[in-house]
Amino acid sequence: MKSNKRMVKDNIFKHILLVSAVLGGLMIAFIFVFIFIKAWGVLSVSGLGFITETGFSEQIRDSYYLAAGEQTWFFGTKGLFIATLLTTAGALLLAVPLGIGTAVIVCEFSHRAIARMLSSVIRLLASIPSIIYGLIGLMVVVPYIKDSFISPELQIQYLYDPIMRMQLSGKSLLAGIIVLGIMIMPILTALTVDAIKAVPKSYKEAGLGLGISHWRVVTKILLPAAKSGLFAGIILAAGRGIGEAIALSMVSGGISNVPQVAHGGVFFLTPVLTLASAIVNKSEAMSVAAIESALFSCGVVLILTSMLFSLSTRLVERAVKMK
Amino acid sequence: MTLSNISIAVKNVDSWYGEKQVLKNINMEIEKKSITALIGPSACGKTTFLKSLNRINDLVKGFKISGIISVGGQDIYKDIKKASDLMFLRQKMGMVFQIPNPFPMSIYKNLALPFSEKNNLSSRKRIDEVVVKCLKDVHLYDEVKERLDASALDLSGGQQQRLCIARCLTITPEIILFDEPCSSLDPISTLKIEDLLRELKEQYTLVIVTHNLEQAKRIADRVGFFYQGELIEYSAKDKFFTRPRHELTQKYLAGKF
Amino acid sequence: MRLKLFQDSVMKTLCYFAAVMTVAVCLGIILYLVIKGFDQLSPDFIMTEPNPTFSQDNAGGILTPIVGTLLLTFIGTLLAFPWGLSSALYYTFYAKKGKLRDTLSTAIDILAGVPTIVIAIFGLAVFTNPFWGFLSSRVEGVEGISKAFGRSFWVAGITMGIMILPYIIKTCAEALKAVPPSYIEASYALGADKRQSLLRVVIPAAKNGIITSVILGMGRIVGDTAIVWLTLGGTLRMTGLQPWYSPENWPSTLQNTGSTLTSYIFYTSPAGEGNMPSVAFGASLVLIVIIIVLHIITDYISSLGKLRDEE
Repeated sequence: MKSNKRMVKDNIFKHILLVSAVLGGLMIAFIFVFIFIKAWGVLSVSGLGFITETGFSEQIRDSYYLAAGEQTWFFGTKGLFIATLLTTAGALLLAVPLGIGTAVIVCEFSHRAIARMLSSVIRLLASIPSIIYGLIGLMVVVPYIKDSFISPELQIQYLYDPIMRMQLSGKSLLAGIIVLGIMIMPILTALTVDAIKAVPKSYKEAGLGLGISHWRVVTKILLPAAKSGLFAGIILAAGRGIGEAIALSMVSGGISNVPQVAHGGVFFLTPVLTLASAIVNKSEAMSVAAIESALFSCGVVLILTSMLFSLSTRLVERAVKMK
Repeated sequence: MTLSNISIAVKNVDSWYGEKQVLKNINMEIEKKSITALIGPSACGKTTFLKSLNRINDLVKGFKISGIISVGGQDIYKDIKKASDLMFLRQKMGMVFQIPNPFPMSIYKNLALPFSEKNNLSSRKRIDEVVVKCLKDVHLYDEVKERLDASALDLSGGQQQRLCIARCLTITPEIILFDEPCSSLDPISTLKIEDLLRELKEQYTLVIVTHNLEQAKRIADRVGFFYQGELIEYSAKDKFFTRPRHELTQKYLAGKF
Repeated sequence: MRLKLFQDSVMKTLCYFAAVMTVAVCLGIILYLVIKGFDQLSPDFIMTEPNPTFSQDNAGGILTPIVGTLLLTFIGTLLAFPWGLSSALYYTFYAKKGKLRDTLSTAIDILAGVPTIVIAIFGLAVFTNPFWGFLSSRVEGVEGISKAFGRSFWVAGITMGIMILPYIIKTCAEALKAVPPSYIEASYALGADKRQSLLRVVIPAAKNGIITSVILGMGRIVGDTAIVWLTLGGTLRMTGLQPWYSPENWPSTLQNTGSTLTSYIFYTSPAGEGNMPSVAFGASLVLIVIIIVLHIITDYISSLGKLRDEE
């Protein structure tokens, strides 16, 4: 009798787990499907034009003010796409050398107590909410850029720019790069520290035993041996950068501008809008079906990017395992 | 042993890990171009001693040492202050570890890296020559010549250990230190390495830590017996195995530990 | 050799420079916040409700944002933790290996990496469906189309739960996998069935990992702004029946909008409508203190684990 009761209990337990697992799976599937369905309205009209054409800000404005029948379902986010790539690439360019350099010092060239303190400070910074980076960016970085690089003449010149009128307020691509770079640097450093620490100690002993200098052992042996970990760290940081919405919407301006190389240094001073921050920026207009669909389409592009990233880390892991 | 024949001279060496003394008053002279085997039960200090000879123990937190270890007339603890001098010392002494530890790169690069780090401005041709020569010296060349670009981690344990020995040869050391090089290998690989050691002693001074008495009997010229941090007995092989002076040595040889 | 050593020392100096820069920036941020925010901190600031005003002097405090943060953390964790842990148990110990499980674990991985802003619009779009009106409130659209408002503590909390769900499943599954199979075998050998083995052996053994996973999930909720901004509405105060804290009004409070520390900072910063940076800094400091506390707890737990391993 008793064992029968136990079996029933065991069965119930199993089915509770099954139900929650199935619900979890359905939920995840539902999220993806829901987002793709919502995005379909715009994506089916825009096609590849969604990322190869410009004019997102104007299209949003038009959709918002026109009556339901006359709205455009065509959106072009080339500007957002380029801005996303530029901010993330710029942030990586800033954060990767600093992060790896710091990790090398923390792991190999500092006193134990200092190293421990440093790595706990870095881990703490990695968990600071992005809103705080946004706030500091807005209060410190943006005014700094405005005061040191943007003269009133320059402002007037671009306010009446024939192609794209814009206000140079300090909220700019440069501010976005700096804030994002500072934001992902601790994550990158922490992951690099982990990757270097995971390298077997015997490699270091062997290298030093061969009379190779400590520095050379680090650069020629330890870092190459840690490269899959480094790569995973960079991908994760890039993913964080691409998905960052709030901090960038605070410091990089709000119009879907494609920075022009022809503008020289002003390239970095023009405002930009990234895919993720566009969603924050335009979410108030989401009650309009076309705009809702356009924002979900931005979401789809973001999901596809994060898919690509998680796939590439998996491929690297597999390649390393095969070795 | 005449003075000119001495490669490493050790005088009154004590050492500690933190508060714990691991070597007690070690005195020893190691002869050039011979095999000196260091034996003893585990944790007797033999590996600590070996790793003090090229100062790789500096990596261990809390390691302290006193006394004199002189290599080529230079006191390696007191005379060497600069990092670059320490590098030169280690370039004179190769080291082979208990567990084979080739770098996670190709077979070729495993040898090319230490060579080109030591010798600047080497041509690709010169590096190729050295790689081939060192691989031939350890009788590995024929086994790997088709796949020099393959990862060194794909080799078998015995091959990896011979690769590690070849890696030491690229920096043309005078002395090679072995820390139980065969303890993770199968008997056939072990015999191959022992043959190799007998060849190498024509050119190099070899110091080998082993816990295998038979191995010491097969290859050593002189044998030192460590017990609880002390060098109990140190003499020529035949004398050591046939007429050990110390009671502890006799017991150890009789397998009574 | 000389040249090489020289190059090395230049590179090494650059690395030290990088480290000093990193540390300076990090400490700079914390110091800046402490200096800017410390003046604001007072029992009053923490214990009074915010005031929607343009004058920094009458801005009031951050009581409701703190309560809002706690509420969302509570709802989100309460939803995601049991769900995530039981799913992780099923995937780890019951599900058959195969295509379906692999696909699912890939999907979980991808979803865990999807930016929270995408989850935020998902939540908003789903919960504005009239079916979910009971979670917020119904609004009549212009053409008489009934819609749900789609912004409330319930909606935001549930969306937070959905946001951390893949993350909780993933980290709990890792913690469960780290339990040595020999433990389970030993439990079977003693005659326990699977349920008993999981509940009495596996979960206690994975306890530290599971707790860490939950706390990290909480940290994500506390630090998130995107979901709050979209699904909790941009109001500073609690908009339900007043006083919001008396128990009979709780259902109304949860069905209505409010703010959390993060949305409060966004709202009062020059990026939002408030433009009251000094209170934003005060709130940032409080937010950082919460994050530090969560951080210390996880550090403590992982050090417990390490101690045990060393024994």
